[in-house]
Amino acid sequence: MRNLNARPRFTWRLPAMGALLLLLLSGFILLKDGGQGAVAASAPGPAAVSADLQEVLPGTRGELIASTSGYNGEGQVLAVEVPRDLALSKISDPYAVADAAWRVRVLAADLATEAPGVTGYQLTSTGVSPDAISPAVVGELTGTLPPPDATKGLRQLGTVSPDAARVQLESNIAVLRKAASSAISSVTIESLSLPDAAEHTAFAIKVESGDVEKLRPLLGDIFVGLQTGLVGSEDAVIDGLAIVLYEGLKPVAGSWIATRALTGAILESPGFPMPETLTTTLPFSASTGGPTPRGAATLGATSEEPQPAAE
Amino acid sequence: MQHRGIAQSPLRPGLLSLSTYQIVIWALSVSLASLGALLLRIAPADANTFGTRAYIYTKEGSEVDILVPKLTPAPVEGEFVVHRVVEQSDYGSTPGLVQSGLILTSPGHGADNCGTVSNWTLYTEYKTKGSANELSNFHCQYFGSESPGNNDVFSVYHKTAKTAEWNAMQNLAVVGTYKTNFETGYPAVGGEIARNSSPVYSSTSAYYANAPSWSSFNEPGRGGQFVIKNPENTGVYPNNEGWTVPNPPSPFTITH
Repeated sequence: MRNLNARPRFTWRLPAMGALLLLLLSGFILLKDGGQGAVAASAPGPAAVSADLQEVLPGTRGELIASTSGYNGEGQVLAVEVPRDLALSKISDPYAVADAAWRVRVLAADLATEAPGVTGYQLTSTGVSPDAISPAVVGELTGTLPPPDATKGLRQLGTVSPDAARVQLESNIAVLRKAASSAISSVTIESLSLPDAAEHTAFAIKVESGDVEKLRPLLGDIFVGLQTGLVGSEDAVIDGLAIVLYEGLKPVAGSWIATRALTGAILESPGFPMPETLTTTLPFSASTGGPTPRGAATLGATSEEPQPAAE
Repeated sequence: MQHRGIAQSPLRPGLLSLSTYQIVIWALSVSLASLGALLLRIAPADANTFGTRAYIYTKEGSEVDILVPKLTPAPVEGEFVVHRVVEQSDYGSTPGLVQSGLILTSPGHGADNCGTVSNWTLYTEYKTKGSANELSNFHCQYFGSESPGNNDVFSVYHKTAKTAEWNAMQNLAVVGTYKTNFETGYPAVGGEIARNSSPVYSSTSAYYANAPSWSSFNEPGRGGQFVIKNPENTGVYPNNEGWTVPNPPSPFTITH
């Protein structure tokens, strides 16, 4: 018969077993993340980050470094070392800068999905005097990612395969080319090589024309319509979309959307001003269940004169 | 979030005089009457739906305290609505600007190329100051949705003297530092409706500060705090009562 009044024999062992369990669990985490600790459990290492950058923006190096800036306070930022010629790029080549910045934003935001402590990205020394680097370059390549909660509404990201996304994009381009007739000489698609490509997709599109003025009635279709089924709302299904319109070899207008970074950038050349509002005119159709944007307007400036202060 | 209106705020514009307020109130009345008449001709449906475009006379920054509207239903198709603080370089053809505030869009009509949002969403936008030979560079960013009824503080200010860097703040956190190609500008706070035909600006009041005392404003909190408040927080777009600037705090202290 059991002695119910006897002191439980295993009492001392319970905390010890718990400690052992914790030890085993810690060991598992350490093995899994290479000793970086639970907070940075899935943070990619320096080599992986640089490799990712090389894929997305050849000639660029980078690493995650500690930072106290950013919306989330302490964290890490993707420190990017761009090629010397890009660092020295003046305002005459803003399209290259904007394109590089977009690629960095897309990648930084993707890294943040693996390592939530990543809060931004910044340009680092390239062996070039900081004074020699165009402020525009620094500004474009330095930024803050939104807090993780801000992207929780992007529920459809990663739900569409890269192939399905590409089919959607090609469908959009076909609609555009049908309407634009000979005004568009070529359209090329670049698919960014992002980490975990099955879930992270971004496209860079180059639309070339011999006479961009002929495309002016279709600007809404080019810069908004091509987003159909892909980006442009909380239903976005891919990580990024860049659209640059060329006249011959010269870029005249561009749009860069980095979905997870919740950013958009627009460039317009002085000889080809964009309208304040863009509206689609063509029958784009979303096969992915993604967005169906129909227009956009700038949050731009006013021409109203300010009133003088009351003295 | 704790309400940070003029009466409670340590950031209040202490150099405003009572006579300034009286002039302001008079100016508001005149502005409201004339603007209302103008808007009734241009866009009757929007005449009293929302918004303040108020200018704070400092060239280096301003701050706005906005109670997030309980805005239902969403803007009509083709529109978006913003409430924000903005600093604009000039009123020429290619001005630069930096702004921070709240946005709500209709389902199909986005702002810049940041896309549409179905809830009030924190945002910033900057545009580099251009010229006849330079490109214009727009950049927008969203920072997540915000609950109606919350009280948010937005600020844009010149980060450092003699540079073209501007900080955008949301609830006292710097969310962006932007290089805009301008060092001084014209601040404004208020609301705006944009739609796919053209932007529609709506303004119901103006608010001025004492210019000389703010001329060296280059950090948050040294200028003034501005409150745009929806009466009773019950206004419903598109038929709400409009937005008002609350009365000065009482007792009111004049300091020099």
